[in-house]
Amino acid sequence: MIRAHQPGSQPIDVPETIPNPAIPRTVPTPEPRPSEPIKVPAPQHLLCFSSSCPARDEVR
Amino acid sequence: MSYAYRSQDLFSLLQTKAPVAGATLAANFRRNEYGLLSVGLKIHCLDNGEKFKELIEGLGGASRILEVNYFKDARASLCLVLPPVGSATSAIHLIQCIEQYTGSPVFANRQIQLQFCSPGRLSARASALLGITFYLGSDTLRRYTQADLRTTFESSFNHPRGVRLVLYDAEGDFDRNFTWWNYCGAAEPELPFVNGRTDLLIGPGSRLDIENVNLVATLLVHSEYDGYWSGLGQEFRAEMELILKHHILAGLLDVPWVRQSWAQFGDDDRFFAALQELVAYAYGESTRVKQRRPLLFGMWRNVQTGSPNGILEEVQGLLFKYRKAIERQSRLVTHAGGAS
Repeated sequence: MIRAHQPGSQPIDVPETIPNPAIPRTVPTPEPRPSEPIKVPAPQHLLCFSSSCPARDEVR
Repeated sequence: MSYAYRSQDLFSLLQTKAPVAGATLAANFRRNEYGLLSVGLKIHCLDNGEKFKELIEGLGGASRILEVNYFKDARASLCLVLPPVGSATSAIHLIQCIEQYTGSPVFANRQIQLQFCSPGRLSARASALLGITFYLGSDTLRRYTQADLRTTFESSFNHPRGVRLVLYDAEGDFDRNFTWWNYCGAAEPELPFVNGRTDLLIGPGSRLDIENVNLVATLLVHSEYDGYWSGLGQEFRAEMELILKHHILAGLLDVPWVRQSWAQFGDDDRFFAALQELVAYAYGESTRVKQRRPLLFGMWRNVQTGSPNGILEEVQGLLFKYRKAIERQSRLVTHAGGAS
């Protein structure tokens, strides 16, 4: 950064580089996060050991 | 442009750390795109160049790779000459592979000055158009000091290049084995130049800079050497000159942007004054564009009177228009069984 000014005037900041305003800035798209594993409840009849459960026969 | 190693050796070395990109590059580095010119690059390293040490050792060591070249940025610790490639895309991939190999950025790195090399020597006026269009079309507007443009060939006895943004070659090695689309649209296997380049010191460059300079250099070289894009090149020159005239910058074209053999005393200063005028105009333009504030309901208002589309937007529009024209027209050529 340099400052160029004449006596009595406001100092002007002249940066070494500035982005060209005619070029739209491209914001990098964030990488997609891995989706959370979805917990699916196990079918009740697979966990059921009751001999009276009516669904037991269906899975056998 | 001397590089004392085989391009395949460089690609093999890059593949050790960038296997996929390096292999793709090795297989396609001579491939032409849309009949545009081949691309050469030089990397001037302003710091101690430590990050390139492993790469240089792998290619045969500094004494073999670097010291064959006397030419470099006057402030640089080293200048690494890369092998020319067939397209801007390959040039960008090559830089990306080097970034991956060294683990350090090359694009937009203030310690790295890129030099872009195009085959064919342009006239003084076309060199001015190349330099001006590069500057206004870049994604970064830069201020310059003369130190930014000094090279070891500034006052060379045989090949003095002065203090300029645009430089001619020093009649070194030249790889002609790249496709050239001739006036009829046929792909010739060799460039029509036995020797001769026009180079541009693009500084800390970007991908867009490489694409833009390749496009503009192609249009200008074809317009002066009767290539397939000669007609488009002439139109481009006329439109660019008109833009400069509208902005009262046409006088910039009369300044020696490249050092010719008949250069006069004081030409370096005349060029630098013109460059500073261009920089000041672009910086002022940037401020004006920022002052365009959005009003309610998405309406825009120009705070200042004058050209509704400033020179920066006009040059972007021009580059976009000619890039699309080349892409569109090249499809017709390839479909008709001409160049490929």
